[in-house]
Amino acid sequence: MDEILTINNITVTFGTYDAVRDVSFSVFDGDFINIVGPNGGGKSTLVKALIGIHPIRKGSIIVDPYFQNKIGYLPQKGSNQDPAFPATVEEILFTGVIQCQKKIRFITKEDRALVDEMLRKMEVHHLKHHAMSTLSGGQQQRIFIIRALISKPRILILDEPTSALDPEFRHSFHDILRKLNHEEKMTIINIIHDLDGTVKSGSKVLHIDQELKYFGPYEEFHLAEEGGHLHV
Amino acid sequence: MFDLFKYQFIIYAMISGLAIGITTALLSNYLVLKNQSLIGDGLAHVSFAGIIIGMLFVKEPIYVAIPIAVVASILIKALMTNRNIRGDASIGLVSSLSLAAGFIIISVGSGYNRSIEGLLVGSILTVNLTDIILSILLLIIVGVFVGLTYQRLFSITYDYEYAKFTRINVKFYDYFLAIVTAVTIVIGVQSVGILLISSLVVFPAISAHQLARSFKQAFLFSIVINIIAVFFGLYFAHLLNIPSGSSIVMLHGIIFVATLLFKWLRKG
Repeated sequence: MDEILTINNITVTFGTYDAVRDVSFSVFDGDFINIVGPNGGGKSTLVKALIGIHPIRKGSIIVDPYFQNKIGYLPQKGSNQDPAFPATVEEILFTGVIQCQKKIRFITKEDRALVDEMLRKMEVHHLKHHAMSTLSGGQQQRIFIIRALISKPRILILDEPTSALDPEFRHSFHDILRKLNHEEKMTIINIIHDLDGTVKSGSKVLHIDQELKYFGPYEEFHLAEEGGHLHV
Repeated sequence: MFDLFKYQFIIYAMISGLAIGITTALLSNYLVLKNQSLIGDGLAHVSFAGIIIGMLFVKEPIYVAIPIAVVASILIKALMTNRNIRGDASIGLVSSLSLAAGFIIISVGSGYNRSIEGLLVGSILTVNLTDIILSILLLIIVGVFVGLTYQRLFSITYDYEYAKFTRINVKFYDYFLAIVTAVTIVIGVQSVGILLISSLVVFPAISAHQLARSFKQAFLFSIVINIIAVFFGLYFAHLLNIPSGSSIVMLHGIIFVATLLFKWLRKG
């Protein structure tokens, strides 16, 4: 497998506080990485640094040029959105369509067709003209994953995608991720509160608490957890 | 009703008022949904100081007030990015300092009284050809800007971090929006006054949100609402001999209550 993301000793700060300190790891094409750690341990900050929306103070992040504009991102639910914001599902999906385009352009027929295609694929086409605020938490999250996938990414980065959802939806959501990883060979980096219910077999775990505590196969992480200690 | 249009000053007031109304409506949703409703109020205070200073030096104080308001809007934006100062606090800082500066200049100057009343409540019935040209020019500039960047502005307003991720230059749009708001406020102050100009920014979006299911609808409803409020506001001001700015704002209040009622009835 090819190395597509190389993170070299990065430190990310808020003022004088190191949210992420001296972290290094590599991501290979087709990896499924679950990022775990305590609240405030730097999981979201690390991911925001990876996608370039939070500056790093030290170190470097090297992305394989082929993958540079092929990243999909699903932010933490409810982190930025106003629940009463007047917007339809279609309007929100258009924000994913215009990803990484330097020139200003209008929404085209092709863009509309792409939105239709993705909504059908995820079996939510009937919600196209619905106001986002009228959808259930599960339906909203399905729309956000469509937005993350609409630019046909090769790397999908998710920030606690199922934290506010019921267990049933959580299960079907992880089925979607499993399919994307296994069948479409998409690289997935998934921040998760706990490892129950997520894709475990064949995955890697990145445990962070400001510093990197563990990075390696899930099975080894699980064994170490059961044994009461972790390899750093 | 159309007898009104036999007076040139009414025609001038209508053209200028409608141009400002449409311009503020174009900006309204972006500002209100980004929790920056108060920026209109703050910049109105800044334009007060700007116009007062302008009166000392030139015949058309607006030419001094515009650059002052633009600098203030940049300052507010820069302060907002400072982690130690909250966004609304930075608006408060700049606007109260501007008001204080304006009052100091008034106290040491003379012959300001009449002009100050006009500044506070607006004097749309005295707008001249320069005001009309400026307000139409502004409408064209803001219209073209919003028309071309509608999608990007929507993305930034809906989810700022996601917009950053999609490589939209969010800072550029933030500053540009603040600057055009500053210019719009200064020109609008002539029409409805310092105390009321922010209502043209806040009311259309808030009323439109009670009716709209989509952002596009909110955007279009805001424009229609401001057109109705300015047109009938001026009409009633003339008919009942009341201040035009207050008339426009009262009408906005009535429209807002009507939209709330409509929403309530639709739900029921």
